[in-house]
Amino acid sequence: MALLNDDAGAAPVPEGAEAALVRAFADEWASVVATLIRTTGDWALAEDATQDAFVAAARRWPVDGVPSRPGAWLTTVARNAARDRLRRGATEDRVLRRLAADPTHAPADDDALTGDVALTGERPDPHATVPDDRLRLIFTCCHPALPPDARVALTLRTLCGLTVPEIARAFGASEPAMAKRLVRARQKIAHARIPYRVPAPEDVAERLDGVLTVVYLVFTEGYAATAGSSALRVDLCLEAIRLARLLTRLVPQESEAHALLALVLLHDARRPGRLGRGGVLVPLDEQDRSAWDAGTVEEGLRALVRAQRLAVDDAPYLLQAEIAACHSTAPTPAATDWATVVALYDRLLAVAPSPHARLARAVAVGSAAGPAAGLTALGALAADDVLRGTAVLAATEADLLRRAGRSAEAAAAYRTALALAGTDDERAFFRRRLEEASHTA
Amino acid sequence: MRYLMLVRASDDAHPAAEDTDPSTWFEEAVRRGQRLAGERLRPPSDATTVRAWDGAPGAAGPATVVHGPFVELAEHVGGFDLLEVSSPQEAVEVAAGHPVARFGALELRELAPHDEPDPDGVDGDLLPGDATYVLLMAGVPDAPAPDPADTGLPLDWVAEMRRRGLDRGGSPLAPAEEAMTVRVRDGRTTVTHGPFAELAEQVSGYNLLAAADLDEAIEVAGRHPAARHGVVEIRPTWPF
Repeated sequence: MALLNDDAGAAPVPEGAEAALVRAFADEWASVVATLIRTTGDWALAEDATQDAFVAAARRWPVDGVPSRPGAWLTTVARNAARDRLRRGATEDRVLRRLAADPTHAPADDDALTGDVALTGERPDPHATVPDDRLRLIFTCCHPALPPDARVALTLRTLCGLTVPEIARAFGASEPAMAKRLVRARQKIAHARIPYRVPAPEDVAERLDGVLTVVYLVFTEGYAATAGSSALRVDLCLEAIRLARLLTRLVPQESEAHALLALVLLHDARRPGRLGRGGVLVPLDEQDRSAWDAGTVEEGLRALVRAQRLAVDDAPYLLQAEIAACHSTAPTPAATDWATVVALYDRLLAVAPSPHARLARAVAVGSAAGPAAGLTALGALAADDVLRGTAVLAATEADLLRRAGRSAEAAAAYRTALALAGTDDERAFFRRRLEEASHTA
Repeated sequence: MRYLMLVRASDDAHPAAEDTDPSTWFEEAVRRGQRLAGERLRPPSDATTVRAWDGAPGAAGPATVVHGPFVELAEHVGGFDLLEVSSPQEAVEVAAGHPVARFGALELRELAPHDEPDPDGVDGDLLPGDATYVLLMAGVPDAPAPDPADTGLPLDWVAEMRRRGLDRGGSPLAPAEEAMTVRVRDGRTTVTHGPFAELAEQVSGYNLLAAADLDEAIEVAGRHPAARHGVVEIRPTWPF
């Protein structure tokens, strides 16, 4: 490829090229895009040029060997690809001049651009003159002036490098609709001049909430699976974990970033025990806890300790992670410290009231104080605007009725849940429960 | 008397080719001293709305930023012009000459200034090269005053923005029920008394702003008294 003009040395290890490419995609995509956005100011161009660089790497690395600094190699090739695309377009002279004038273009500076500082564990200073470009990118993708669905799509496209068809499939949207959503979001960034920078220190905490929400949305979409295939859901979970991990490096002083990482890891660790034979969803109290990924639980608990050390007050992700840890560390459902779980939900509802937290609290009450108490707690939720008429509310009621030995009522509630279920996994689960309840009724 | 003319057009309007270029209208209106200023606005998808209350209007809270305009309408505000005329009839006549009158609607709102105009600047004078935004203030129905002592008058705000060099003019508007909406169809001018649509939230004032970027515009909008009483919509301008 004649474009290449960097001096990053190439080691002759062609057999490792594919693995190196996969790792480079995971580690470097966001840095390369973020740098290109800063130097070109053009989001679509940055994404396309980064794509070009990875295509070039897929062709070159198996032949020439993997460069010693893959990030620097990719950034240089992407920059050249951007310049090439602009020359072919021949319309954006202004951007070409900016590319040419970019003082960080010298290959010697490439390490500073690719975010290696953050990855080697040094504490990045968000107020330094050159903050990690990925941090600007995250804050811009998650800017409150963008529609929430566009924030999620933009984050998956620019930070995670998912393709438009992949994002469309993951969210059950058509490709043209998803492409349009992304185009609109990029246009708004350009036209309304949403700045490409880390917010002012006094605004970071508030704006970080929005960033964490996007990461959590990506995870829950993958975990709860309202649409899309199983494989894609796992991808979304892994992307969310990677984003959460990245945030703990970019803003290491923020307790909630560590808490979110803990939360998604502790939930993800249960994935092997969550789907039974034939892909049937297994509820928490029936999961084979030995199937949970012990290494992931460990990492989650370590992140939770860091979050607790940095915390100054009760905060939503911290409390949710503490609840998840109660389950992850209990050898059996019966050994779970349900009283603590209920107390944590009470504190969670005080700082971040939500219908789903109230529902989860009712379930915990059902285990801490018996199904009758759980049903009483649930009764207060029947009128909730968000929960009314949902499968999850019917299923929770059915489960408490079943445990209370009221089988006929439980069967009726499972029938309601079955009719309202949105995925095949959920339907299979409710059908099984319905059969069990019908046998004992 | 001064009018703010809100140019309303629907996304799916099909204007005749000769109606898409308002430059003849501009030149004529400027020549006759009727048009003082004006801007074309980016579409509502580029709008951002700011309010400085939590849950319910009047309840103090941090500034909340919401994507999009404060109300989604088929006929959105696509631009505005500031008119200087001697009578309401003249305002209607000027509006009827605007090409958008033939496929959209022009809402005329008399200015109701709360103070003297800035002696150093002409209202509505945007400088070329500025990142410019239009703030559209709107009330929210039944919003109580956040504080009985809070008059909602933006005098301090205006003074501060002039000091910071951001203010490019603006004014509260006379109540929406005193508006006139002008349309021209098949060569006939119709004037509706009242705003172009009955809405709970009506534009109650506007301000032109030169800001570095959207974050600065959000900060400035969130401190305008209208954000405590209602909402402020930020619309980037669209240079001709």
